[in-house]
Amino acid sequence: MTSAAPGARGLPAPGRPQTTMTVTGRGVGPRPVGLLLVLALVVYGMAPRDLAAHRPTGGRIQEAFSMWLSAVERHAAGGDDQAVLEIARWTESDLEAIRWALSRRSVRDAHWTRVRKRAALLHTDIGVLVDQRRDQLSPQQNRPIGRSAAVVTDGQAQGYLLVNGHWAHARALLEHVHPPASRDEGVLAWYRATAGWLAEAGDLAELRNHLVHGRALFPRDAVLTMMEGARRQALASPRIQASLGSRPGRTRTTVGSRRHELRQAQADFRDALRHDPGLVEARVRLGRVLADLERPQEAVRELKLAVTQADQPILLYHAWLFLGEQEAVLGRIAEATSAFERARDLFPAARAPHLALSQLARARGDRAAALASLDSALRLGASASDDPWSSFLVAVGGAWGERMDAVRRAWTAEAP
Amino acid sequence: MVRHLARSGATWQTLLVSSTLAVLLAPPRAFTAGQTPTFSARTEMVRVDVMVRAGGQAVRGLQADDFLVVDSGVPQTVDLVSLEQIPLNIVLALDISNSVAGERLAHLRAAGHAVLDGMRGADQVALLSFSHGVTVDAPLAADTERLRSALKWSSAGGDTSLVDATYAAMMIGESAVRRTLVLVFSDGVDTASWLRPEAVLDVAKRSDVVVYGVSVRGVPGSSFLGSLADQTGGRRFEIDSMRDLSAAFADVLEEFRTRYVIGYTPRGVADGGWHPITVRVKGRQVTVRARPGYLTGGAE
Repeated sequence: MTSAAPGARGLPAPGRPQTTMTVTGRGVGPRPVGLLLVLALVVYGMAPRDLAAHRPTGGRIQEAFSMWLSAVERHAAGGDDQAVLEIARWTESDLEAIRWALSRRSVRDAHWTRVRKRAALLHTDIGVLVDQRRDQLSPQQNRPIGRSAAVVTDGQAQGYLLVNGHWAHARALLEHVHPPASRDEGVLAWYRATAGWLAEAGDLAELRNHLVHGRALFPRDAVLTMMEGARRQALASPRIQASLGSRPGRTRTTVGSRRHELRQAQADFRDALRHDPGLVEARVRLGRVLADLERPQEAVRELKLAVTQADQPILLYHAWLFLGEQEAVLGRIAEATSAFERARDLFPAARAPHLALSQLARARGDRAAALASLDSALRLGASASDDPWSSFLVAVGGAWGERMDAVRRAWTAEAP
Repeated sequence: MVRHLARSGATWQTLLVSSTLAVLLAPPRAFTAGQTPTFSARTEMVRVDVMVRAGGQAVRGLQADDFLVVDSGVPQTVDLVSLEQIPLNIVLALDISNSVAGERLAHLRAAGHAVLDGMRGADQVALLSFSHGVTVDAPLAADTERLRSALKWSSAGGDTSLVDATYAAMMIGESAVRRTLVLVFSDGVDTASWLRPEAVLDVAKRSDVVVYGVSVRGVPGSSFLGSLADQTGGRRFEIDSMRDLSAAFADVLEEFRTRYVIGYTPRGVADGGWHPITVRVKGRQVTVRARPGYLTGGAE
């Protein structure tokens, strides 16, 4: 459940703890084009008069296609460069025109496969950089328009954002590579890396779309299946469930009830383990979901297996932490205490094990021990870097930054 | 022993120390790995914090004989009653997460000051704030000036660890000789705690602490604060706006001071486990609010 450190080569680390979930707006409002332009202006601060120099106009598809190809070739993957600046302003209809132009080129031509992959890197970088400006959401935008995503902070809906079209464009580009995407390990690696980034960015709305496409191409990939389960697990959390009652305007949402999402997550984690019984993260997450569904015996069974299989400290930490909680639920106090102590020893700066030990001590009547553990907990920080539990719901699928680096190296090294 | 001390005029504090210590310090048995512990507690006196109101006003002047206490279905004899004599531990647990950003934070600070304005003599107060983590801004002490200077958060933000914070507040405030009021303000649901609500409610069942919760009406919130207040014999207040927060805090403190503390030595009931209790006032049409029971023995 680790991710690349901020600043490491790879995708820029997501900065936020807001989350988005997909809703469908019924309102009628300004054309999406105008809103995207507003967002782009906020992101890049260019004056309106500069836009005409970069946007394609109707009836000049070939010229637009040439501009786009130039940007694709110039772009340094992973960078925030002029190519990103130019193409970020393009609308969904502009990008549709590019896809139309590409459809006129042979899928089996290796050159165009290379172009598609390089272009996917460009649009990935745009998607990431546009998403990072999410904190500049307009407060007037309290009504969903077209395909929108609700932005949720601390359990309350804050407003709506138009769905970022660059992710969809990147996916569409990769669906027409040759050999077919479903047989391309690089495309799979791209999906795993970008899904991990979207999860950590809290973009559950885009992650849903991303995984629908990714799992259609790779239906038996355990990691993508696990990520879908983790997405459901996040949707079941109080942070999201509480916000369902606070969305302004008339909207539909794809988010189900807490129990529905937990049951779906359970099914996904079990599927992932059928594809790969050694995927420890899926087993740890399954254990947590079973705990949330109040099935402690089953949770303990999965988590006991996980602690024997885990080889990464963060996975082991979560496994011991969750196991301790469920042992306590079953009244096995000594086992619970031991599990919490194992978690505490793995991450001494983490608050959760100390809180757990405190509550356990208090429940058995040892107030002195409870106060001592509580004192330890309160002296510690609560950030994700101190306690991995803080980011459990968003840090999914391992080191997405390293995965993305590998994809970039592979796709930019391919011969023209 | 308790009855003898009462007739000899010993102070309430002496009585509470000698009796309540027996409740809190009953030694646990050693655990054997693989066995569920069967904790045996020797409960000598149970202390119950009781609110009695009629027509919206506190009812004063009640004596021990006015109360009818039933523990696990067995009527009990009330040994001690006190009103307003016992110094307080007041623990403020205040939400400074994203839901109280901006002008709301200023109202929260003002409400904290309102509680400090209502402190008396030997009272002690502590301040906890919580967002994604829990911070003890000021530990339990009688120094109000130090706590006033702690009411100076510059901004609010982050997630809400309400459940962890209430646990910490109850633990910090618990006392063998004082009455403890935990006053919690939160404007949203818990989004960040490690502890589950059920675990903290279990602790509440074992504690004498009384929790009052305050939240803003109409804002989606969790049922946890209400459940915790009910479990401890406290109340949940809903205010129409943050501008009403200072008055609400002052009302809570005043109401808490008018509650009775009754004590009885359980007779004819089992040693451990959950003990449901009911408290009534004989011969009067009044509203009585007290915790629904208490839990003794090991973790269940």
